[in-house]
Amino acid sequence: MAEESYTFSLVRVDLARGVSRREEIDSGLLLKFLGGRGLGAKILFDEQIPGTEPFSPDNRLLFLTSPLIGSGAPWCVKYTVSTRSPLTGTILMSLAGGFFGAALRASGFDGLIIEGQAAEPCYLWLHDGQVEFREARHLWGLETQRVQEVILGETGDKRARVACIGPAGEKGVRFSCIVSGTRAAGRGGAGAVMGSKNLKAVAASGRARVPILDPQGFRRINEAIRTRARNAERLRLFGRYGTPKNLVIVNERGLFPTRNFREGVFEGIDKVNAMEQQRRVLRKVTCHACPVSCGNMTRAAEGPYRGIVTEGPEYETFWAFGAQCGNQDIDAIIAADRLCDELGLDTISTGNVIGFAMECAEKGLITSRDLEGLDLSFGNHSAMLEMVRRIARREGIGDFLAEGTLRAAQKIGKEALGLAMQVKGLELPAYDPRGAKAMGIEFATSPRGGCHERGLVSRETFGAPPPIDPLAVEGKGGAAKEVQDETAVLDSLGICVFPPHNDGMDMADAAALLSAVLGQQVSEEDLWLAGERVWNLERLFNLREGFRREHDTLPPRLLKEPMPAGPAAGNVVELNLLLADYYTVRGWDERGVPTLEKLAQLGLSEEGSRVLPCPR
Amino acid sequence: MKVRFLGVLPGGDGEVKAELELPPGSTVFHAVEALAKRLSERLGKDFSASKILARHVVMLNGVSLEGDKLLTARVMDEDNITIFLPVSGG
Repeated sequence: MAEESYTFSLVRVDLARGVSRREEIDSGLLLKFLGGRGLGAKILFDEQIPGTEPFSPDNRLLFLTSPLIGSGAPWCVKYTVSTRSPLTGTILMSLAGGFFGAALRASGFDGLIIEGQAAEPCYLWLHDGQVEFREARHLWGLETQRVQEVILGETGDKRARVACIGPAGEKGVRFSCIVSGTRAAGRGGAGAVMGSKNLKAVAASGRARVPILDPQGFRRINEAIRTRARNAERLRLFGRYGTPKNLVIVNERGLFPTRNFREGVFEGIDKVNAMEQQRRVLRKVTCHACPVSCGNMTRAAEGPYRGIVTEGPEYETFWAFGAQCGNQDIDAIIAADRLCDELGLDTISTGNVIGFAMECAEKGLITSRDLEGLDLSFGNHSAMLEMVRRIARREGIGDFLAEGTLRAAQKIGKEALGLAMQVKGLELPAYDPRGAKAMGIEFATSPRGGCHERGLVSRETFGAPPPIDPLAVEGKGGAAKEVQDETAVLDSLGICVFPPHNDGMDMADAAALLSAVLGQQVSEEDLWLAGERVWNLERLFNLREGFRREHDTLPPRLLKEPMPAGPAAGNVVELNLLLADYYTVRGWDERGVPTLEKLAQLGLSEEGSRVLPCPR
Repeated sequence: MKVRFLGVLPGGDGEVKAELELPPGSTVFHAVEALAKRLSERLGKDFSASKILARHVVMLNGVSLEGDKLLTARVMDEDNITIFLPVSGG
């Protein structure tokens, strides 16, 4: 192994004063938290004053990479945006693929800590180890693709990559996202935090080389992973179709939420699926250093949306504007996906909140007057698209829904709260945990609220080998913990989760890659421990912000209303049993608080001392 | 009986829908054998029922089948069999 020391440097930007300074990350800290999501949790925990409001200038906004991003190792691509979420009040880590993460490292910085609020709209231009503050009044109000085009023209650098917000972020829509290329750091409202800082975009480019301290070892493992991936049957199928492959499968397994989670089987699946999408695909789309290329550039084929082109839609978006809204028109979903990308909206939350509003309208909880004449019935896709526009612009009832499902339901009243399919304020995605019980744990305990991405148990949801019974309760705490910890590692290293979950690589590969890059031995066990450490630190952050056992819950519909039909018919989520098992496996007490012993084992005693004992 | 195959096929095609005529008393295994034969004829490559069963998840009317049930579960007219490679991601 090499004798040199590894350096990882961030730039701290004060938007109010227009100044920046470079900071080195201690290598011990890097080994403990790896980068990306883990490093973001550590910085936010250490620096953020408890109770800092998400739209306060004091709420930090971090763009972080990892030692592997930009190295050329396959699938090491995902940068993380970390902040306190305006939608949930929890810690937020939102990841995106594409090319921005690699461009950020090439600019000479491994991450960005943004503080304060600019007096006027601005953007940051990071290149060749320098930070430029540029005014962005002319960009305010523009949609995301146009913003990127204009900034690329202004920098004169064709290799530059831009992460920006759309009108929704400017308007403070609590589920607005950050878009780079056509990929989004989607969930939890980081776009609104960026908008509150008057920061329209961050552009990055440069020729800085990513340090690799053991280049021979790195080449060896890199090639081994790529060779193995070429023969991975499941990964090949995933690359051919991308995430929409699972629309039919999840529906077949009876856990595909339909019409605001009233049912688990969608009758329109023959019209909204991967094969129908394939008839519309123009070309495949890839991320940096990805030999799989799961993305699809898709063009709407028929009806009023004919000719609209989008990258995607992904599985979740097909659901959000399909089954969730009772819509069987695939071209309308393509149009909605493009619209959300342009306006800077998270497609999952947007589709979820519109499906919620549709059920409220059906039950008379929202009136025709509230809707200003819009017929928001399930299946009305033109109304669905109009609602997307109104939300982004905060027009009429769109202003109300832009606050998210939970806040909207609280204003409508008690009956609406029962229809709000969210956890901790984050709108639920495209799986019904009545048909996959570990997903119930994941939704209830994910640090950013009701989310599938921090610990999707593929063995349960898709029947990946070795499969486990989706309807069983026993053993699900351990299954959830294992995938949560694994995902915390992958997220922190910036590794896309899809290849590891489809035989493309494993934890030993990740450890070997990191060892080669850092020039020091990192074991699989080190990584597993780091993943568990990250998960517990995020838990401590949320405990400090007042989140308790009662917030680890699910919407009443999933706890009390049995699934009406399909393979999961008659099931509810037995959450108390599931959580008791999960807390025990995690080494937490019955209130969901990490024990001192667990924190000591993870090297988090000092962090724990700042939060514990936790008041009830 | 309707069979939907969502596995890996040569040539990049990943979905086959087929309606099969089977004699009374047929099992899921017989259905998969019939499907393998049809795929072999159509694509000019060997498909065997045992290989398909080893790598794919098989569901009969929405219920996953494993082990002996793959061999013994009887199929009826109008039943739906879904065979898929369990790809993760969504």
